[in-house]
Amino acid sequence: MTYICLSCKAVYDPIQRDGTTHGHVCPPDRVTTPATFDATGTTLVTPEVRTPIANPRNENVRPDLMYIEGKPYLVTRDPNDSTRRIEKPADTFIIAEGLGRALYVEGQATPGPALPLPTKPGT
Amino acid sequence: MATQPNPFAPGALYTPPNSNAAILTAKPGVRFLSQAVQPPSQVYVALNDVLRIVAASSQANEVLTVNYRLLLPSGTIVAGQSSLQVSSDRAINIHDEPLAEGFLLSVSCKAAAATTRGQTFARIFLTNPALGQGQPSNMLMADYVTTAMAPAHPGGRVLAPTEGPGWVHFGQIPNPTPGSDFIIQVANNARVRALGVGAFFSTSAVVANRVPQLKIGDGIGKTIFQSPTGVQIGANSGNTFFSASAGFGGACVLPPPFGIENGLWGFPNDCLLLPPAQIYTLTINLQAGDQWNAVDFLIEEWLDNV
Repeated sequence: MTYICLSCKAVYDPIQRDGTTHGHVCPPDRVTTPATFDATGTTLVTPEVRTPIANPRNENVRPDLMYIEGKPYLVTRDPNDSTRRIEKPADTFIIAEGLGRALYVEGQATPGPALPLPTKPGT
Repeated sequence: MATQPNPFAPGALYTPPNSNAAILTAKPGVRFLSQAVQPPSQVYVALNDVLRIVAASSQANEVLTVNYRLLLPSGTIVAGQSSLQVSSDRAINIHDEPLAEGFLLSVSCKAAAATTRGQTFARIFLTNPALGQGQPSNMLMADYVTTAMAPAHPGGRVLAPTEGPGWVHFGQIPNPTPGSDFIIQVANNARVRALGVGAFFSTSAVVANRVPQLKIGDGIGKTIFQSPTGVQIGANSGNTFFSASAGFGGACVLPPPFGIENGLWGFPNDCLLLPPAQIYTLTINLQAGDQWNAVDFLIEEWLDNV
């Protein structure tokens, strides 16, 4: 199953080829205005402008997540006793949801590169 | 569960020695008791004790099977088995196995998916709810477990998951969207030694000098390493490699037909990284149609904090 990240538009499979889980992480920024050069390609005319991705997604699991008898819990400090830790049911598994993700439909990606790519990312 | 008769049970048939028998050899210096002996285990299980099984894995479809033998006060030996499905996101998975009062003779476990160290880690101990959540009362074993390697108690070891060799493997991240740099983030509950990164960088026809650069950051905004820069012109493509074995050498110009667009950058030796560290590129003058693809990496990985 292939997804597209709605924050950075990256297309990815959550399971890698070696069977391990892939947690998608958005890059910190994107080029919103590319740099321009003169005809020689060596003299910079206007520098690029990068803009941070406002709501980045990070699918790595939270460090305080654990599964007790198969159910997800978050380990947190006991509000009544700071020396103890308690578990509460997990409402989220990953570090940052961002704008979410959607199932990827072939051809949905942004304009392609100069060279041909594999028909499916990651293959 | 299965039972087997106990030859030392109270009331067992005792056959006295033949009174006419003569000892023709020297008397042994060691004698063994056969009745009212101590149980062959130092692990007493009280009524409130439970066997806690803790496991973490990076492998899909992992199942940890734990086998144990318990000597009951009646003298009966009970064999038990418990299976724990372990998630592949490296998070801690916990299962509590209640035990009857008695002496725990042995515990051993086996994995269904992991084939080498660094993939599935198991920790087994006795705990008592009165001590608090997760507090061990008697540590039994902690080690990596595979389909062949079955750590056990007694005879096993209690190790941290970062001890010993890790899992050396290749990986590939999905391609970033065109016009974006790639980023590899160390997964939570993992510790990796970065050995090499390779990627294919193709540039659009837009005339501009792209300057790809590899960086390693702490994941919260600070750069701790950056490679020397290289230059890739438009309408071209090249393989870019970052390798630990290359040391700290500068940009390397490969012979034809590769041309100057192919870079070989050094990578810090013994580059140990913890989450949320990131390996990423910063390609100055990146154009909208430029594409990083086939981003492969070679790492040695351990589970950590599990």
